[in-house]
Amino acid sequence: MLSRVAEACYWVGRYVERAENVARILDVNYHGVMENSAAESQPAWWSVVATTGDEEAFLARYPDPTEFNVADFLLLDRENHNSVFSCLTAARESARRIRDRISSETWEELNRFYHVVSRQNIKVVMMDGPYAFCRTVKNAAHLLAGVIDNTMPHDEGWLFLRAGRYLERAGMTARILDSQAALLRRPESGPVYAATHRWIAVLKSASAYEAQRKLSHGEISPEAVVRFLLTREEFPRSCLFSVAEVEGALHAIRATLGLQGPGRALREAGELTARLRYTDFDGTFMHELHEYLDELEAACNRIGDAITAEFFWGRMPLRRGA
Amino acid sequence: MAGMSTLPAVPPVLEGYAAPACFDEMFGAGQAPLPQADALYSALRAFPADELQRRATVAERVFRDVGITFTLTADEEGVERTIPFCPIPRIVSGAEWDALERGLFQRLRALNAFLWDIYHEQYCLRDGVLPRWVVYTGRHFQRAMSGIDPALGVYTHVGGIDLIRDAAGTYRVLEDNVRTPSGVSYMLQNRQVMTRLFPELFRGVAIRSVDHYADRLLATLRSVAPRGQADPAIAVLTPGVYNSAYFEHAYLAQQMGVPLVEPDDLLVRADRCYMRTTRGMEPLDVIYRRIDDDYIDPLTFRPDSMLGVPGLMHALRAGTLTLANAPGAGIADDKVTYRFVPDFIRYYLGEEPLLASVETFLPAIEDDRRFILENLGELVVKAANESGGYGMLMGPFATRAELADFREKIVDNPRNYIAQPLIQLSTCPTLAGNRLEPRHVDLRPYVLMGAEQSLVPGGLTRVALRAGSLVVNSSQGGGSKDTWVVD
Repeated sequence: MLSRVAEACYWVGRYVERAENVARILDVNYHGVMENSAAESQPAWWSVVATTGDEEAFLARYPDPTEFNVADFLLLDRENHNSVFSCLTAARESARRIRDRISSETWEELNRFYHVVSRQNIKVVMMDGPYAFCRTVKNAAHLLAGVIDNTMPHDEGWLFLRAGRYLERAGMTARILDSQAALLRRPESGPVYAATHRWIAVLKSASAYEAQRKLSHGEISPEAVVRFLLTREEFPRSCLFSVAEVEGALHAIRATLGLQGPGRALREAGELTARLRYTDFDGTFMHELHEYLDELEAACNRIGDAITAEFFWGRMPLRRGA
Repeated sequence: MAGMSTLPAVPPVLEGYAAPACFDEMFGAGQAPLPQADALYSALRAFPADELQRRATVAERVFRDVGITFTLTADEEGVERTIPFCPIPRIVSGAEWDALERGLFQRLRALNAFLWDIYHEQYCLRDGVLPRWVVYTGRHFQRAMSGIDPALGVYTHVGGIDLIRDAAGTYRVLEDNVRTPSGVSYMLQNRQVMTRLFPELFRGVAIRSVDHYADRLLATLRSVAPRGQADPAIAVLTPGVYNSAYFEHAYLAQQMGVPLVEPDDLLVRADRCYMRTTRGMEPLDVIYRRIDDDYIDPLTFRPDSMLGVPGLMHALRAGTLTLANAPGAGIADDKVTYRFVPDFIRYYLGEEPLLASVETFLPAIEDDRRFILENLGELVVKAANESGGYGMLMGPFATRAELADFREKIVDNPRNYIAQPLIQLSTCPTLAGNRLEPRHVDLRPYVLMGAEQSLVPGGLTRVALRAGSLVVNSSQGGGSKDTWVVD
């Protein structure tokens, strides 16, 4: 397969997944902030921006982190490279470059997804609150994933798309957890039941609430939520599940190409899978959660760099307008 | 279904239809529908006036969802648009088509013979078939092609020959497009949309199919593999996603089941062309290129260009690669060369031209120039190497300032212009609001040539949507229609 095509498949997977997760981040925090007092809402919204790591871009464009501004920044802002709109634009641009290699159904669904978002106006979105819009984004992403898996041959291109999708998911799930890690550091900032609500919201943002209830009995504690989203092997949005999928896709790609040995990307993915699977949650783990998640994201970045170097002739990721 | 007796005699959308003084594709020069258009005329009787319009709107949405768009080159933003689609097909009778096919095959054979000659012995110049200056000042004459022997002697594998119909209903060649003609995807998509959204119109009509175009194109490309290789590796080469015809490049690659490559995907090592893949380098034998000569190989054509594949011309010269169409083919569709094509047919094939063309005057020839400058207000002037309806003067509709401007341009650079009498293109009933009005059309069939010649029965019918306008280019507000060859 052409390296450029493989690379575009990979980025379609990553950008669609990122769009979905940005909507999830906004969704979970929106309800979390609503339940807090008005006095605290601006710092709370600021922590949402911090979750995405785009504080500088935000400050350059908005006077203060109000609910409206943050929602605009995360959902529809054309200048924010990680807004839902920008991610879908980038996914569509990547897909456009490989239209001959993806199924028509995939292209049409992605194109429709893009048009649904590109025609939105933030004032209209905020009239109902962002919940409805975030749900639309999540549903469109699910539909697209189903179309991809059911209309594309499960060949090399599809494997690269999967590698991209799950690598992005692992990193974004870590970020969603990290956005709440701050709560753990200042447990005095509110009543206990409010904190429990927020951890329930975190589960819900990952569509994990019902699964967690069924799979792990007992009451909902921060540790139970973190443990579930990091290492629950059966749950398709957990970090362990996602990284194991990346590992599986890379393994299959190497087999398809007839390549010998593991290679750097597969080795990194295998190492991370093992590290997650045997995470020691005892002792001070929850106190060092932020550092742990930081390292998890760094490991995901290393896998991404290794994939680019090994299969894409070391070229840089596609950028809009490049 | 309603009985025939309840239907109006005249389709509601055609009430008060009045073709101007020219040939009409549905009514000819008369009042009653032509035999080949009879079934369509009857089917339209069952359409309430608003229904066509409603479904045309649905069709536009289909085009947008499928992503059949083009970008305007003059448009800085690169905004994607769909070409307006008119659901009333243009109809050609089977007998007319068969005659056109013979003429088109003849023309493409002659153009290829001319190209071989001009890049080898140049007998045509020795024998005075056309003046030397036409070739040596031609913008698309490529010296680098001299002495290169393309497989089977074919330079132009895909020709888009623009046909018009004059007031008497005679088909004439308006211009040849033998470099990288585009638009064939519209021929294919228009037919698909029509069968999906207007099934009633197809009842009781035997329409020849166009679906096998990609199959014929692939067979053509396979037949011109270097050294007669049996199972060549083929790719479509596109400048990239920002090219106005990118959708078409991708579509054709997909339909043929071959990779779509960009210049960056290719590299040349030891006179052989390869693709960069996840496995390493993989060789290529035939490239259907949809990229201009200037951007093929910076080592040969444009040293200042960052685009292209360095060394591609070495592979061509070494005979390890076929490029379709070959570089340098553009000298054959220079509008100045156009005037001499009937002579090529006589000179190379020993045949009389089967297709009429349009009388053409060349300002570079003194007698012609005098005539042109004296009659500028009656003539159409075109730049010799522009396309898309740019750089054109329509004498009868021009302002005094425009005429003065072109007069100066012609005197300054006579080689760069040609002049022709104004032809009233034929009209075709076309949707305007909720009724049909006559609008001018042309027709571009796509002629293939490899080991054999082939032509799918159909083409791109372009329509000038503005009432009275004779310019059909999509960049100038033109639309498109399905083209039915009916037996």
